[in-house]
Amino acid sequence: MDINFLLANTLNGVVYGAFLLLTSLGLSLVFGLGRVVNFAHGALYALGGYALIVVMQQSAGYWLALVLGPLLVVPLAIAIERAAIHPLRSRPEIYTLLVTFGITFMIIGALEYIWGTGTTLVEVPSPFAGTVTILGNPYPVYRLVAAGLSLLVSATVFAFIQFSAIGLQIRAVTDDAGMAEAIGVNTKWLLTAVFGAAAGLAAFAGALGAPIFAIHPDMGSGILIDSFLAVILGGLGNLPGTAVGALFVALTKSIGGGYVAEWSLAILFVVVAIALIFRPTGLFGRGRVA
Amino acid sequence: MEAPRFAKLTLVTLLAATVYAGPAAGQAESIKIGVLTLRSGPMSPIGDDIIAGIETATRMQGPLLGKPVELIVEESQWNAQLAVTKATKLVQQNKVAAILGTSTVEALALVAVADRLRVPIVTSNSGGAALTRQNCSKWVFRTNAEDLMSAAALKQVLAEKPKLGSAKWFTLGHDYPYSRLVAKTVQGVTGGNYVGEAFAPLDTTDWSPFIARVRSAGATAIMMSITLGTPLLQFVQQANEFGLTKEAQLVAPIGLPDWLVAKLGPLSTNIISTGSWAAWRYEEKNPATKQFNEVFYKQHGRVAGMQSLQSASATMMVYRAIEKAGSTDPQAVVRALETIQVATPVGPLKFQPGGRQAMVPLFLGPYEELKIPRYGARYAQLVEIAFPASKSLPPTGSDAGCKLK
Amino acid sequence: MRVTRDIGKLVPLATATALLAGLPFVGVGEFTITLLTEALIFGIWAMSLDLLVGYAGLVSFGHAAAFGLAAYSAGYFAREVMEDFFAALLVAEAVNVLVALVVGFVIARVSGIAFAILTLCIAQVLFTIAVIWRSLTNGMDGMVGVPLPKIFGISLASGTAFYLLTVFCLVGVYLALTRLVDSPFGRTLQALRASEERAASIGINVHLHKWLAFVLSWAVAALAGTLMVFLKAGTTPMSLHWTESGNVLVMAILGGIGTLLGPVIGATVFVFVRDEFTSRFQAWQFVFGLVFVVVVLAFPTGLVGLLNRIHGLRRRTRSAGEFPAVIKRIRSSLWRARL
Repeated sequence: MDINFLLANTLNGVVYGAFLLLTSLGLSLVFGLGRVVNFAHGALYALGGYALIVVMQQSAGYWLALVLGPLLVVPLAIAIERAAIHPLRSRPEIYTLLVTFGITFMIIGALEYIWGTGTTLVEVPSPFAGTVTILGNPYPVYRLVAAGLSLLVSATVFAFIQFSAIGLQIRAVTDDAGMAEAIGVNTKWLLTAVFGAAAGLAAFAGALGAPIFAIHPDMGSGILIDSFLAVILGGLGNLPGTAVGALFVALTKSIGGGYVAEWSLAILFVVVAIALIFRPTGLFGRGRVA
Repeated sequence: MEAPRFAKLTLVTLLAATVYAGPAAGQAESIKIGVLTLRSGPMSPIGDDIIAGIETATRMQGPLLGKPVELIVEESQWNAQLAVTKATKLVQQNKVAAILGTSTVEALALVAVADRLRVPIVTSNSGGAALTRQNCSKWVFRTNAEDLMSAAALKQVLAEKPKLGSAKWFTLGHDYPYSRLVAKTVQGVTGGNYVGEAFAPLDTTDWSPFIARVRSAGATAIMMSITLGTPLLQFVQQANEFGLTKEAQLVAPIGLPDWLVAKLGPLSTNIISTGSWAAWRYEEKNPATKQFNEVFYKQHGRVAGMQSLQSASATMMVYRAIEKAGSTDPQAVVRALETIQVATPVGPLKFQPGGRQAMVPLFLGPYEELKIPRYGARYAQLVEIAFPASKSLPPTGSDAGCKLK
Repeated sequence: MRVTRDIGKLVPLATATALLAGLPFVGVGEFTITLLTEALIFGIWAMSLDLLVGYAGLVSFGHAAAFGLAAYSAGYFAREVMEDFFAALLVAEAVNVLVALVVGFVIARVSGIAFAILTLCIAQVLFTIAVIWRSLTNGMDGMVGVPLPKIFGISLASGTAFYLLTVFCLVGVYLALTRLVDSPFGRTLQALRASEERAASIGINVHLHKWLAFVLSWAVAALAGTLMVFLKAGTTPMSLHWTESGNVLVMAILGGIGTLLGPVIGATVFVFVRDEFTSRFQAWQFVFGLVFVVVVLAFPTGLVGLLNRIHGLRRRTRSAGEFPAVIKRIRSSLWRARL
């Protein structure tokens, strides 16, 4: 197999990695902020897909639905946080994993009940339906657009956290929740808000990925595992680490998938395992996560 | 943990278990038929079609031995272990006369416990050849064509169609044993024209690395042994997105469910089936298919899909066997199943002498847009060839390796 | 003193065992027994997880590995060599202990979330191997055709006989594990859960104890896997999938971790509730999730905590105030040992 093949799959990996960053960011944020292990992140991603369909059925175009759809998911996520995650503040973080595990079942069950179990294909939005020639082969334009949008949104999130006042509060709580609270940060509502925003990001990813991966109730489970691996590799709560983790997971999957197909998943898990054995807090973990 | 607590808690558990006596046996007047299939998750439209076919066949049957037929549907999640539990529930609690509806994963699990269940199991959606060959059981029958029959049909079609015969072949599948069999068959038939194969992990959603692989091998025909459901939809959509459908012919080894064809819409016309388990357009040649299609459409408001036609055929076999046996005595029904011949939507069916595999044809042909939509379907498979069982199946069960006790 | 305490414990245990074993003979439905057999096997498996989660403070998200691996080893041996239950169990134990010794040595270096993900990785790698190693496992089609086991040369019938075997195994494991967690080894594990640093500072070999706990847990799970492969006459790679690991974690925590008995109750409730819901509702996942969320939110100590409160058993138990103690233990382990 030639170098062109390797490059093609590197490109595939980078594109998927950009997308994975979008799905991983929220996961990393809520863990860093509230030590919430959000197993329902994949289900929120799926909700984004369905929100897209709902808005598009009101004869809105894809792009409008891409913006409006995720906004529908945010209030629902805030309700989930207040009802089910907030009461667990004083309990070990494993309980957030458990409760969101249950919520995942509820969301998937509700999606199946309301919209049926079937898969919905979403057409690639019109200006980007074609292909461009890259490395001598046609490559779908939409994938490049989606990757670019993912990076743009991720960069916005990074900038927001780095430069805004709320971002400063988020960083303060992530570093030391007790201290932040002592100096007057309202951690409770901050977590609620960030949880809502993280859900919005997941939902946006679900809608953005819909023309590539299609929409069905269980669409979040695969992306959830990939995102978890990315976040853990990068160090829970460490956003730059998450970016590297996402790229790493995506490249392992695409290059590994290209060469050794059936073993690619096992290779991903072995690599993550080896990394964790030597760096239990992730490749770029912070001391406090340990 | 203290021992007194153990005792009390055990008592509570016991009470709970005793309260859980399950629903009462119900009216003894009805004949109960168990349906075990997938009811949740993205693949469950297959289960819906299976159930719908059984329902229509049941409506067409009317009372059986003068009693109404009651269908009891159980969720298997396509999980072997759960399927065994649910089949046991159908037998022990619901006292069903037969179990219908299973796919490969359930059928393979059930064949191992069939001697404990002791009811006829007629599967209509299972490819695994071993079911009616080396692993065959007195209790387990199959109406759909098994994988080795599909392989025989594939050989024929490659030999007869020069365009396909001279293509550069690539097998792309999920890592099921069946995919390996398909790959081996394609490789055996195409010889020097076989350019590669890849088996994706089961939860693959992004097919781009595999599309790159197909391209780098220079394939012009792709045998897709991909799970018939969301994964196949994703692959075909992504292949189209990458422009791969312009470079290569997509081939489906056992056909596509018609709900999937509807979802694919125009994309489905890129696909040829080298051996569907059933096709509703067989109605042009077989009156029983037409009759069934009409009742099905009236009842469900959609076209009878591949799985519906198959499950209905299995159901008709079971009902006719119960009629012939004159009772639901499992042994008598099994004996009746061995000898009956029934006009079904997939043609006149009987089981292989001394075996458990139905002598069922395979339906070969491309998917195309219909000039006049029918039963709500706008795209469907054209039946070019109904490949008979006489060309794909050894004449008797024992020739196929089935040794019945 | 010790003897009387033991007798005081054994009498109610024997009563409970007799009650459990007597169920098939007092008119309990055939299918209830079938389901209970499955539940008790899961109960053994969930107890083995409790040893890790509830006592050593190590949350495994890949405990299906221990269950599925044993199922494959025992099932393959029973089908290809001999049907003897104890021989098959011995093979499963040997394989599980060997793998756990090797794997556990490495992953005992970490705790907390890293441990959870590492165990997940191990299970997923085993899953892939089970899919690909077709000559041994028959791939995704699953390994089928495992015969019913023989005990002392007598073939065991499915139904009541198999149920009694399961009850016997469950009680045996429960006895052994209650002894174990009360032993110096068990107390050391609980010290680790409270704080690995503190344990290390008073001279406890943290790595060795975590390693042993892991191996023991896998050894107990091997019994569950062996029973299950005989009950189901086979197994598939799905028995190694992460969703199964999630299920057993749910069973253990639903019942109440750090109690040994809790996971058994959790497994029983899980199996019966899942059976009812999947039979009754097409949207069973929603109802299942709802019940689970309510239990987690409303009953922090699991069903055992709930039952304790209802029956006021707390006063009479040796460790008074166990209910808050359980919370404290879990909290300390999971908050502090967040690796």
